[in-house]
Amino acid sequence: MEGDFLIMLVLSIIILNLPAITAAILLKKPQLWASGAKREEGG
Amino acid sequence: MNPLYVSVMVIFLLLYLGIAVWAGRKKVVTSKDFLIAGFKLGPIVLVGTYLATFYSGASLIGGTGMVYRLGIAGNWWPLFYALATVINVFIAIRIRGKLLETPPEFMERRYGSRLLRILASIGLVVGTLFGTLVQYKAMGIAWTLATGASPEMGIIIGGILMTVVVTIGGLMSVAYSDVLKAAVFTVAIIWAGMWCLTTFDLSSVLDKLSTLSTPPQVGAPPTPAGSLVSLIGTLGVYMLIFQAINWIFGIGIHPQYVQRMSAGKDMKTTLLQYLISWPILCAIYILLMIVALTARAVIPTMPEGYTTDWALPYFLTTYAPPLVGAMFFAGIAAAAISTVDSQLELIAASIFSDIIEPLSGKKLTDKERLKWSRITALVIALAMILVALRPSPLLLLIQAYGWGILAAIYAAPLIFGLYWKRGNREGALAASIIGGLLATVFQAMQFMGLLPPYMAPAAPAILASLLVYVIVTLMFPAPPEELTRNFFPEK
Repeated sequence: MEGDFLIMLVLSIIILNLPAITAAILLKKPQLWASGAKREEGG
Repeated sequence: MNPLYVSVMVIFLLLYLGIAVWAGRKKVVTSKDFLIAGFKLGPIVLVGTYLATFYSGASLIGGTGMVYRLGIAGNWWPLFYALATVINVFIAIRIRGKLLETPPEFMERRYGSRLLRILASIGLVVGTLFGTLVQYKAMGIAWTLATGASPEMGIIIGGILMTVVVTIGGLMSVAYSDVLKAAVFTVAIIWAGMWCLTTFDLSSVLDKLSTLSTPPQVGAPPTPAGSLVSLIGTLGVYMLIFQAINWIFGIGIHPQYVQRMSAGKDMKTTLLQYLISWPILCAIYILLMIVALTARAVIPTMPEGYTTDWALPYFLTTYAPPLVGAMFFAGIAAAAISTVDSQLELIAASIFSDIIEPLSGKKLTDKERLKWSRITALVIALAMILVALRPSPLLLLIQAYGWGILAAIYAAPLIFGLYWKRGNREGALAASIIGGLLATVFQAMQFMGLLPPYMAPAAPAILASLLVYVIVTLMFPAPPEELTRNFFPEK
C-alpha cells in the first residue's frame, strides 16, 4: 500500500515547478514588465 | 574521526575561502559592488546564490527531520516555498528596475518615509539575526560529526572564515562562493538520493511505513498507523492552512529574496534565475523526501540520544558508502554557511545603508561608503561569533519567531506598494507597526498556551496588517505623484 505518496509526488512536481512556469510565461511576454524595468535601468 | 569526512570538509572550506577572497579582491570596486554585487550578477552566479538561499541547515536537518517524523505530510513545506516564490516573481518584475541597494530602501523611495525605512531595517535585523545564530549551531554540529572536534571549534573556524568573506567582498563574495556551496549541496543530495533509490525498494519502504506505529524518537508518543503515508498525517487541516499563510508570505516578501532579485544584471537574468533554479529545487526536495522516508522505514525509532532532526545524518553515516556520507556533511556545512554569510551580509548592508548612513547626515564619498560598509560587516560578523558561542535560551526562543514578525512588518507595504498606486505612507506605517506588534503579541500568547497549538502566530498578524493597510490608506489622501511615478509609469 502506497497511501497518498503518489498524490504528494504529483503535487510536488506541479507546485515546485510553478515558479519556473511563471517566469517562463513572463519571459515570453516582456510587455508585462519591460516598461517599468527599463525606465530606471536605462536612466 | 573519519579522515575522509575531514578531508572533504577541509577541501570545501578552503575552496570557499579562495573563491570568496578572489571575488572580493577582483570584483569589488565600488560600494554598490559590495552592498548589492553592483546589480551585475550573470545567470550562473545568480542561480548559484539563489539556490544557496534555499539550502540551509534548517532545510537539510529540520526539514528532513519533519518528513522522518510526520511522513509525507512533512513535505508540504517545500510546496509553500514554491508558492511563495510565485509572489517573489511578481515582486521582482516591479522592483528589479528600481536599483535598490537594500530592501528597506524601497520604503523610503515608495512612501517618502525615512522612519518607515529605519523601522523596516530594524525588523529585518531582528527577523534574521536570531535565525542566523541557529545556523551557526548547525555548522558546529556538522563539524563535530565530521571531524570529532568540538562544535565550538567549528563555530570559531567557520565564523572567522565568514568574517573574512563578508568583510572583503560583501554580497559579491557571498554570491560567487554560493555557486560552490550550491554545487556541493546539489551533488550531495542527488548522490544520497540516487544511492537510496538504487539500494532500497521504494514500494517496500512505503508498505512498511503504512503500518509503522513506533515513536520517531525515544520518549515521543507512538505514530498513528497509516499517518506516515497520509497527505495530512497528524498535522490537521487548520495547522496546514496557518503554516501555509505563514510561509507563503514569510518567504514571499523576505528581504533576502528581494535582495537576490535586485542583484541580477537585468530583468531577464532575474527571471532566468527562477526558471533554472526551481526544476533543480523540485528534484532536490523530492529526493530529500524519499531519503527521509527511507530512513524512517529502515530506522523506525531514532536511537537514544538522537532527535529526529538528526535522522538523515545518522542514516547516511550508518548505511551509505563513506563518500556519500562525507559529501553529505560537506553539504550540511555548505548549507549552513550559505545561510549565515548571506544573512550577515544582508544585516550589515542594511544597518549601514538604512540606519547609520541616513542618521549620520553626512554625504560620504563612495570610497568612504565602501570602507564603512566593510567596518560594519566586520563588527557584526565578529559579534555574531561571540553570541553564537554562548546563545542564551531567550535568543533561541526569539529566533523561531523572527521570520513571522518580518512577514507581518513587510508584506502589506511591499505588496500593496508595488501593485496599488493609491497606497500611502500612513497605510504602510500603520500596517507595519500593527503587524509587528500583533505578531509579537500572538507569539507571546502562544508561548503562554493561550492560542490553539495549530495556529502559526504570525499568520493572523499578516492578514490583519493587510487589512489595516487598506483601511488606513483609504482614510488618508493619495500619495503625491512624485513618489508613485517611478513605480507606476504611464503606459
